[in-house]
Amino acid sequence: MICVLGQNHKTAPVELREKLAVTEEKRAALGELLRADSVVDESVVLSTCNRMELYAVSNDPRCEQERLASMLAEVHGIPMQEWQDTTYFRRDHGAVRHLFRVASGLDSMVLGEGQILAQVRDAHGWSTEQQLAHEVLHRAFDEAVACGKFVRSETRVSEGPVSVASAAVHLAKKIFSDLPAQSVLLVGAGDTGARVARHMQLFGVKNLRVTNRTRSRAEKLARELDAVVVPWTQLDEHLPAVSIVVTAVSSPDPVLTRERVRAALGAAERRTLFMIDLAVPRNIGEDVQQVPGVFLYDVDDLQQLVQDDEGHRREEAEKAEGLVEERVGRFVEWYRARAAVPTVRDLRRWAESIRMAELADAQHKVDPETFELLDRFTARLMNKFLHVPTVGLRESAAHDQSDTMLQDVRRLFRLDEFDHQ
Amino acid sequence: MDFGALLPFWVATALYLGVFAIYVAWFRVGTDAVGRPATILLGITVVVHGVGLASLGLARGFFPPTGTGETLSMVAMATALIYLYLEFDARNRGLSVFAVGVIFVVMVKASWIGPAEEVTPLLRKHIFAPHALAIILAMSAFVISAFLSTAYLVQYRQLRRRRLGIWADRLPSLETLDFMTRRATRVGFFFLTVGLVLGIVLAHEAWEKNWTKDPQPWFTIGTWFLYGIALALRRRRGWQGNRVAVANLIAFASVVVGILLAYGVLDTAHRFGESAP
Repeated sequence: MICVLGQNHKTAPVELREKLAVTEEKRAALGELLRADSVVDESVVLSTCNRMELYAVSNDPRCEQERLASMLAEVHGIPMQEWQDTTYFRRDHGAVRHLFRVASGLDSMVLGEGQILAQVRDAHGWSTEQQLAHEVLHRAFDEAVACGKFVRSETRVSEGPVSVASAAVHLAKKIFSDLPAQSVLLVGAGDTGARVARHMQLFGVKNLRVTNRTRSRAEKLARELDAVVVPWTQLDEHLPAVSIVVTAVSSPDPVLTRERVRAALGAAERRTLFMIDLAVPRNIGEDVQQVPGVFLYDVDDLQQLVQDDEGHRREEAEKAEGLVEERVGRFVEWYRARAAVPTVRDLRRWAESIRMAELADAQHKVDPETFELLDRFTARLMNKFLHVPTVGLRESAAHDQSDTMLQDVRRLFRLDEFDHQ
Repeated sequence: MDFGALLPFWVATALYLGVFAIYVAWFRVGTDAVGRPATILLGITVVVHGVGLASLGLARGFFPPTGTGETLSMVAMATALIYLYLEFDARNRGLSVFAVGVIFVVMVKASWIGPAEEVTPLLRKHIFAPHALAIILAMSAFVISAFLSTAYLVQYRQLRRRRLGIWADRLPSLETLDFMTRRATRVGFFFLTVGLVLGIVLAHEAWEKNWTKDPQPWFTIGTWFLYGIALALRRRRGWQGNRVAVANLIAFASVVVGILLAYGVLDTAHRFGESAP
């Protein structure tokens, strides 16, 4: 059985997710618990800012939600009752489908986002180093990552904006070839502008500056964003050095006028400036749009982009779900076919033991050359006899959810009474 | 007209049409599943096209182009090659429909005209082949540069107007388009310089000072100056973006005018298959 116990942005607010977030230290402790547990055969821990999931493999029916939850409770020192309602538990087909959807970005806050793929890969990598993951989870995670890449290349689910912040990033990528190399100036220290700045950081932007009339607020936000504080009075000196400006201050009159922007572009080596005005009333004069090299977007423009793209994203997501389901089906077939392995192995051993007994009996009655011929002949005969039942057992296990045929074969050939030694 | 000589033209034309159809499909859906086969088929088409031209040259004993049809065919092939390189470099197929569409139209014209039946002695001179090749590569690069400049202006306008259409969705970023334009223009300028020098040597060999009376070389020198000015303005005055795109298009217009005049109105020796002045 494969199962997953998890919590994500849909089931729990950030205050509760923070409690179950797995730090390096807690991950190591959780790893020790999982390794020592006699019921869990394999495990992988996936922890990101929007989800915490524990994947487990076990043949023991005691591997249930309560057992996994109790390990998390022990590691975090928080009683299960305080957070268990915000978790979900899935098993077998449901657990595999969940993993593949997560890797494909279909369960992410931003549909189709790409960062989760690397996070899934890293989680698997860590569990492999700790020898917590083995055959089943190796295959599951490898195929989930392959599925994620496939979905992103075969559909456009990861393209197009889903929020004002992602619309801003989408536009920036249509202007600049190397977004991480751009420098961003955030004018205003409120949540709105900060969201856009954080989203840009998700896409690799590192050079971030913050300015605000109240310096202390700018400093607070700069600490959160790992940004540089620009004094309000030095705004004009910093404008030539940035390529993206995000404004979100409360002001009855425009903060950035056409003259200020023209002067900044005149002094700048680069002549392109992407300006995002999130404020109402607007912070950037409408006539700034006429300055050559300026791309000015206000909040209505960004909302319009999001709306225009919504229908298209839903279509792509449906297509992606279909692709995921196909791949989940192939993995589940493989996983179920594994159930036939012990029976096939025992059947072959039983047949081999009969063959060896008969050969031993014949050994003293024929010459060595004839004996060798008999050995090869009987081996080939045995393989041919067992080929069809072996394939049949694997296919039956892959497609039949019950163990009927496997049990029948074990009973028919008395494999459980057979002494393998 | 010898059917065997025409066959490579027709095969290449048919293949380019197939490539164009797949790229149009890609433009609608935008996924790699459709785009990848288009790129692969274009690569195969360029190879088949090259083999066809080479076998034509081997059969005749001298290197094409020795006629208008062959010249157009080589322009199409060179353009496809340069486009493929830029598509690979920028990892973007946004210009595919336009580039391959024009390549297909050029090939239709080339197939209509077909290979030259009579070749003047001038075109069999050793220096002619590298001159022709350099000029063809230059023109192809300038064609691509013109595409890129147009794409830049379209993208720039859509972004400035804050209304992104399907074009903006498929095209590379403005900076990428600007970079690709610069690269294509530099390649074109280099080959045009080489082609001009070799052409002047060839013309002097064939006609001595009479070549200065032929208007066609002067048009080409004018084109060389225009592209040189566009590159210099970028380098020395820091021009970029739509200014450079417009400068490139003006220079490209001189290429088109020069070709139209040479093959329409002007009394020039630069018409393959006709006698020199």
